[in-house]
Order: sequence, then structure tokens, then C-alpha cells
Amino acid sequence: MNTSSATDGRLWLPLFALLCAGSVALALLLTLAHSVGMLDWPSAAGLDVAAWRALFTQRGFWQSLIYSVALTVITLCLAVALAVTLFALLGERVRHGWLARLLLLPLAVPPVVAALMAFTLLADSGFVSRLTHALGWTATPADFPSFIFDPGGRGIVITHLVMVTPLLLLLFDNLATHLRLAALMQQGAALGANRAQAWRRIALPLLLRHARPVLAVYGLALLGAYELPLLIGAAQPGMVAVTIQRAVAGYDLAQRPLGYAMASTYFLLMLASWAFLQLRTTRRDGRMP
Amino acid sequence: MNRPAQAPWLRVSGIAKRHGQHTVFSDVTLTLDRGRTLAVIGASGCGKTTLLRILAGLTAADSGSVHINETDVTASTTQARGAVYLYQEPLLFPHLDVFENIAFGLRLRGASLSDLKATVGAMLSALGMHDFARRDPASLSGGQRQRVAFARALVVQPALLLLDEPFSNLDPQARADMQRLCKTLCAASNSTVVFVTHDLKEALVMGDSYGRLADGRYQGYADRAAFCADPASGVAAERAFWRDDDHTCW
Repeated sequence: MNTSSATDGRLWLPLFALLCAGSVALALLLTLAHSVGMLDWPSAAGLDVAAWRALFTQRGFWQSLIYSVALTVITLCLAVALAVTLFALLGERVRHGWLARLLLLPLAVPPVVAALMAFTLLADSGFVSRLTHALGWTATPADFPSFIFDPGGRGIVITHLVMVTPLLLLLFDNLATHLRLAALMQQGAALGANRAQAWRRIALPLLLRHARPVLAVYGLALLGAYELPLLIGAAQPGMVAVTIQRAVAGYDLAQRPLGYAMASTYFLLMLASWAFLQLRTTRRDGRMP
Repeated sequence: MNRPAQAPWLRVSGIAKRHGQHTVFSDVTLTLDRGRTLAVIGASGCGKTTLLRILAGLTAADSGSVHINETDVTASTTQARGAVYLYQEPLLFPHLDVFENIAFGLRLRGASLSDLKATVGAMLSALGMHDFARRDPASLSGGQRQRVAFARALVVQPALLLLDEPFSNLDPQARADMQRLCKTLCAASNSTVVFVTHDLKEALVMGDSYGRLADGRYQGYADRAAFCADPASGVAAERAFWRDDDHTCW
């Protein structure tokens, strides 16, 4: 690197960091200001904490948060199990040929399109319900389980699974190459491990340990999912992003400070999770190769 | 055990292996008594690793049979054979510390916790690595990693220990140390070992009996004298080289 580019690096990197951190801090400050009724801050006069009182006395936001965490954990667990199973079955074929290209396809589908596809396929009157009826598995199309607008969130989980599993499959394949998993598993076999033992004692712990940061970040993204829960999720309970959006942009203007209080709380929880992850990763990097 | 006194522990009969049109070797026949070390020498690519993998049950032979302790194990898995294969590189499991790496095979075999602690502790002491039990493999030197890998292979007291040039990546001093350690521990545990190498000196140090793989053929030698007497072994040429005083060019 020459002197000029080194100087540029010293200049631009802090500026970029300042912009990132600054915009996050500013957004948080404004959200907090709105939550205490200072909608036209800095010219606002009063300070109203009624929205915060309501946030902690009403159950709506917390139910929504718990519901979102539950759906996220279920989705991630199922996606990891599915991706590991597919990776164990497909092996190196994940990397080559038509399968590798096909796997990338769901990654290119926007959530809105995925929601519409889920609606077309999984609704009471959708393709799958009609197919099961035509096959004689259900008496009427309406007998098909309701995956769309389902309070159990099954439609959201299934659609997210379709979108997340290929990504995890590619991640595991990449990690396996990086960690020389095939050689380590062969070493396990040479020490007497059968295939199941090699997977349980070598492959799974290694893959999950190294995939943890990506899984955690992806979990945060799923937790804040908006389009899918809005389009195919139940009205009540709603996922957290939908609940916040409804409060902030609803017709009832009195609900707006509550919406901003929800947003601020969610924002702070996400920041705390991110900081916790950074701390864990830093500590682990100090121990691991 | 009612076994004829003269019956060899390992008996390999007429093993052959082809890769497509290429014959790796054919009609490999050898025997090895319990507690002895067979050093197999051959140039790179002659099929030494393939032979070891067949003995381990990691690769199937095209024909022939393998008997361990008079039991036909030709179609058996590595675990059923009681064989352990040690690769050229240590390949320690990075998510396990030194203790757990050594304990890996014992855990597979369902050893109790007290047995496991005692056996691994004794092995660590024998290696002079007792203080390294909770260290990550990444923090070890190349020689230390190879020691741990060797301990991991030996600690399960395998019916057959298969060593595939295990010291080839070490510096000369670490290599000599490991050869000594290997001899000592194998003798102490009465292990039956097949050791392949392309290094003539290492073969002479490690072996009790010898074999040579070349041009798809296996030639066995009962002892060092027989091996050294065969001009094809390369020992005579090596001796002649070192007898020659004219190395002034060095």
C-alpha cells in the first residue's frame, strides 16, 4: 500500500464508522424523542412518558416479541436440521452442477414474492389444498390446514425455511471446505467411528460452532422480518415489526408515541444482542484457530 | 485363546488393487506376528497408502483377504477390525482439547469416565505432555501435535496400528524423538504395527521385519539382515555412498 492510499484509509475508515454509528445513534435519539411526545423536537415543550408507561403495563408488544422469538427459534432450528441433513446426503454435489445453481434460486426471491408464492400454494383455496382434495386426501379444499393467516405462524415458518435453508446449506458447504471436514471425518473413521458417530462427534459440533455467528445474525434478521408476517401472518398475534409498524403508521395518532417506544425498546434489545454477539465472537476468536 | 503358536497376528493373502486401467499392486501377501513392526518402504505413488487403507478397512481391495488374529476381516469396518490408521498429518480435531482428542477413540468404545481419565492421563505422562491436557490443538507445535495424534491412535490399544509416514512433516530432531517414542510405546503396549515410509533410514529404525513395494509388486523380508542383503532395498547403495570419502563438494 502506498502512502497516499494509507492516508485515504486513515481518513475514510473513521468517517465511514462515524456515519454508520452516527446514523444509528441519531435514529435511536429521534425514536426516543418521538416516544416521549417530542414529535417536533427540538421545539417541543412537554415531556410525556405515558407511552412508556403503557408499553410496560400492556402485554401487546411483549406478546409480539415472544411470538417473534418463538417463530425465529423454530425456523432456525428446522432450517439447521434440514440443511445439515441435506448436506450429509448431498455432500460435494452441493457445490457442482445444476443443483448448486438451483440452490441459489430461493436466495434471489424477494420476501414479497415469496409471500405471494406461499399464499398461492398454501392458502385454504391454494394449489396444495386443491391438489390434496383432487387426490382424495381431504373431503373439501377447506379441510386443508390453514397455513396462511395462521396464529401458529406455520406459513411464515415454512416460507422462511424455503428461503433460509439454501443459504445454510451453502454456508455449511463453505465451512466444511474451510475446516477440512472430510479429512477430519476420515480421521474419525480411521479411529473407529462409524458414519453416525463421525457426524455426531466431529461434523456437527464443528459446523454449528463455526456457523453460530452467522446463525445469530440471521436470527436477528428473521426476528425483524416484516413483509412475510404482514402479508401471510395472522393479525393477532403479529410479529414485532408488524406490531410496531401498525402502531406508528396507524390511523390512531395517540398510538404513535407507543409505537416509537416499542421501536426504541426493540432497537435497544437488538443493539444489546449485537454487542453480546460481538463480545462472544471476540472471546471465541481468542481461543479458536 | 486357542491359537496355534506359530499363527501370525496379521495375514494378508493375494491382495490386489486397480484404479481404472492402472494396477496399483497385485498379489500382496504378507504376515506379521503380534507385537512386531513391519516397515514397508516404497517410492511416492507406489501404493503404500492404498495398502494401508485396505488393511484399515477404509478402502476395499479388488481381490484377496485380510485376517487379523485368525479372523477374516476382509469385509469388516475399521472399528470391527480394531485397526487404527494414523495419517501423515496429525489432523487433530480442532473443537476438542488435547485430552479430548486423545480420549476420542476411548469414548467411541464406551470407556468409563474413570478408565478414560486414568488411561489418557497415563498416556499424557508418557508423552511428557501432562500440562497440555486442556490446551487447544492450534496452540501446539508440529511435533506436539504429532505426539497427540500418535497418542490418540495408540491409546485404544488397537489390534493393528497403521502408520502412514506419520513423521514426514517433522524437523529432523522432532522426527528422531518421535521415532524413539513410537518404538518405546509400541513395545510397551505390545502393539502390532505396519509402518510405511519412503525414508530408508526411518524404515531401518522402525521395523522388525520389512517389505518393499515397487512396480506393483510386494517383496517381504523376515528381518533386517535379509532386507539389507537385497540390492533392490537400496541399503547397499546407501552404505557405499557414505563409505565414499569423496564428498568434498559439500
